[in-house]
Amino acid sequence: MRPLRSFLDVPLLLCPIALSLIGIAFIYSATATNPEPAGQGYYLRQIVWFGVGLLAATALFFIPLKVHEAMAYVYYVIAIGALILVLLITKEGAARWFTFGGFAVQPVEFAKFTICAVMARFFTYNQLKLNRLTTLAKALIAVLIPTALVIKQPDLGSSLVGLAIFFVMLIWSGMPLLRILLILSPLVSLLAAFHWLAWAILFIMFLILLYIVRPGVFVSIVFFLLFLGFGMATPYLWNKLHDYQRQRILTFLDPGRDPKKAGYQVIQSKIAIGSGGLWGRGYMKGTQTKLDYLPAQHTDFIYSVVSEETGFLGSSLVLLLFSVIIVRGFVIAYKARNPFNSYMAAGLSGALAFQGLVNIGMTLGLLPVTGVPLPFVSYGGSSMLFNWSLIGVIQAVGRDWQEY
Amino acid sequence: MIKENYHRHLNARIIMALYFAFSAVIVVRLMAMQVFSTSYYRQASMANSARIVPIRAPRGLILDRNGEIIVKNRPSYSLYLLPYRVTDTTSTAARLAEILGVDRNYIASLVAGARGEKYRPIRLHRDIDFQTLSIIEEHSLEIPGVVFQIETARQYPENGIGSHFLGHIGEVSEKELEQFPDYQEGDLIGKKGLERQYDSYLRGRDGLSYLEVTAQGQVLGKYPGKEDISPISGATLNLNIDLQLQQLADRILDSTGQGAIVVVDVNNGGVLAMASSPEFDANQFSGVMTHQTWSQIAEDPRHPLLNRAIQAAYPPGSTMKVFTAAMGLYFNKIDEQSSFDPCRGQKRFGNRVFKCWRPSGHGRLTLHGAIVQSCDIYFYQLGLLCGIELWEKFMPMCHFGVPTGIDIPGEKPGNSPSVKYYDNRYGKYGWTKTFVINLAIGQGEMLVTPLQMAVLYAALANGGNIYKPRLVNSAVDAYGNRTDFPPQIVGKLPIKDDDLALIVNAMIGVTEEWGGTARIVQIPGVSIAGKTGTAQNPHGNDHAWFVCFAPVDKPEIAVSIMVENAGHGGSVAAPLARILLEHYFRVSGNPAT
Repeated sequence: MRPLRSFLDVPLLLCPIALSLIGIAFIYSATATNPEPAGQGYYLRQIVWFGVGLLAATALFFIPLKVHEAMAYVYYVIAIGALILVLLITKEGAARWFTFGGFAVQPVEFAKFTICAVMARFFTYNQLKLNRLTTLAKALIAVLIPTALVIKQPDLGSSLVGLAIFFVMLIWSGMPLLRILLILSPLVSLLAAFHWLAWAILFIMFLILLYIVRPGVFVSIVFFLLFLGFGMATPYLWNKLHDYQRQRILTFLDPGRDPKKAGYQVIQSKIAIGSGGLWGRGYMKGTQTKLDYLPAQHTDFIYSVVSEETGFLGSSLVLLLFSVIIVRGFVIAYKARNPFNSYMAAGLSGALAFQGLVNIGMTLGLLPVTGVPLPFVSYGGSSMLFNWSLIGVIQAVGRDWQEY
Repeated sequence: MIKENYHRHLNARIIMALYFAFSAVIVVRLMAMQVFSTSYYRQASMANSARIVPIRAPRGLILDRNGEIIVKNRPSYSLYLLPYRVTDTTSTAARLAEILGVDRNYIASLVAGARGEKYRPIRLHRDIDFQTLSIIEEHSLEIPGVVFQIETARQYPENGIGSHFLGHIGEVSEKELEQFPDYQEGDLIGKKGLERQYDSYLRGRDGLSYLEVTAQGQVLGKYPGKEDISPISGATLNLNIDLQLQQLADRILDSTGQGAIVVVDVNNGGVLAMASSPEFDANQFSGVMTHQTWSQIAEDPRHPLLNRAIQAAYPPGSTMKVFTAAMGLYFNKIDEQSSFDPCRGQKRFGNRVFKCWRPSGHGRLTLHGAIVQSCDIYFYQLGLLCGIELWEKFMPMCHFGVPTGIDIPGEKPGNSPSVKYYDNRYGKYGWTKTFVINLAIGQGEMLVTPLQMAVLYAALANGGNIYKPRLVNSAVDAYGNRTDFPPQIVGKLPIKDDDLALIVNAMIGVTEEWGGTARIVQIPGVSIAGKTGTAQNPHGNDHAWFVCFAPVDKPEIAVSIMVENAGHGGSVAAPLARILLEHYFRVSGNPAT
């Protein structure tokens, strides 16, 4: 019999298990004192989803990557269909869930996987044409369609995952960094346009970039126009955002501007984390958590609960376990000889890394509140299922690394 | 197939570098918050979840000179609303407003103010009466979330005994919050009288209880690791007031009319009784006062809130004459034997005729007879002889127009006219020197409070010492530490001993000699020196005055009585003095004597 290590990346199995168990333990801690009995059962459901996730990972582990490669566009169509359907059938509130019995499933999680598969296949098949603007445009459109549907839900945080995957794939494709910067420049223009001076400085840097990269006259003109256009589109897009989304961005820039409402979450999260100290306040003993000052404590702000109750050591441990997953993911992607497999593992690892960093950054007040869950730890069935599926797929890539 | 070497090596590094760069930022941030700023965030966390609840210190008792309780604390019911149990704010507010007789918007605003903290009780009403309590109990199903809590309230004497000097407490106002920073919203503070003046003694120190609360305001219990701080009861005030005498003074004054009675100890300025009629019931102020009750009290034409003993100034009438006499003696304008034109019931000064109270006249009188019979004509001439210049010199020396400095707020100084006063009031040439004629018999712009007269007659009794009147003798705090408020002499009457003897002798005549105006005030074995007064006033009937002290040979107390619009001092005010003196000297109906 072949040793386990030859077909299974052990750290990449143990670390997600550890994180999942930590998650269950702290979901219990966060909800045990919930005054309503219905609010206390989250950890039980999370255990069920953990089991479901492990099963899904096992199943996907045994599905050859070739299947995903072949089915990528089929997945894509299904995902788009699901995203449209969820928008259509939801009558009120955020259109994020399909509800089956007691369980709610978010199509966006499947969409993340889909985008990864489609991008991996597209980048593999168009590796030599990646310098062409039309190729990139096609890829971008493929990403933007589901992204737009997710924004419509609205779920700004998750919608950014698709773009993050695209960005990781670009780097993974071997495209020179400056060229990637050029591709990102319209986006930067969009963000910088909030302040005319920042935008002006970036515009000069953009011209310098254009001069260094020299992508050709046509491409230069297109990017020049895009840069200007996105800059001008900002005020329009700003008005298009939902009020709470605008509040979140403004609050991120200045949490004190509305401590009772929009800034409340971040302020309470920081108090929870900071008061944890080096050793933490003890399991089930965090007052921010127990007394309900911390919002969304079993979902988006679970990291704050861990930090309050286990301190710097616990917070660091979670970050370490998470980093091991990311590093192993990229190592597998690096080793894989088959380009689709490699792209797939890199994209999926990138999606995990992006979500983890955005979530933790949010709880620490480093990034705006976007409602992205912490993979494996936050409460949420779809998230658990999706993230464990990724582990299954990445493990499969690792097993078949020699395959061409 | 693609080339193996396609920059993948480099690109993996870029991604790892990005990932670890951001991770490093996170670790640094974690360190900064969790390792280096723990205490800051711990404090913020505690500020979130610890609610500091005051444990009310029992307010100090107020006792009379014999240790009898005048003001104490009693348990009362306060009405609270628990927001989380309220199902329909509008209907609850409407129902409660109806029962409590308050504005429904007031209750709705209280509920709205607590949004978010749905477990924190809102106080609706302090010290609810039993009838309202039963009505609310009956309707408890219609108004869910309404609960009672027992708190202490102040218990003042019945029938408004001493209500004016005791004062009352009430919820601290915004203005007072600025003035006294150690008070917090919702605290009770002394508003009037002794409750206000001695608030810092009576208040005690509230204790603190640290409670652990959830974000919704639900109290979970004591905050772990934080000990309660016990309250310290307020100091007990020992008054100079004699409760029995006070009750008697209130009762006899009430049955006579509106006015004031003040009894002081001539040897130290202690106030034995201070009555003002009509009284009000201070207990009405202990709860949240309804608009109706308040307007009833505030708009009463009899002004029950006015403390007539110190806050109302009246013309002293003939009670002033002893000081007019003292002025003449002091400036050597007269002596024992001097006399003026005889009294024929009236006399012309310039182009005006001034009348004596006795139309048939008193004939020729010396000072003694003039005081005993209270002859106006004698004092008109004495006043004119001295003139306003000597008047304005002498009367301020006797502390007329000067507040006595009694230990409750709101005292009026009265008025003693001077040249400058008349110049300001009537213009330089708008008045004449004959104005002093009226002043000499305690009329015109001369104004005194009943307390002032008591203090000055006490000074006549004790050889000239003007004491600061004191309601409070001492305060004893919760640890038994005693603060004394010792007698204080604030002035000396400018009267020589011989002159004083002369005047006092005449004042004895007022109660004892044939023709004296207060012969009704005689108690066997106790000689009484006094002076009646019947002060004309533009608002109606004459004010009746009687001021006296006793016993003459070894003076103990001075009594000042003023009854508004009641007629002659000798027939209305003097009998009241007799009742009080009889009580004081235990002459009537007391088996002990």
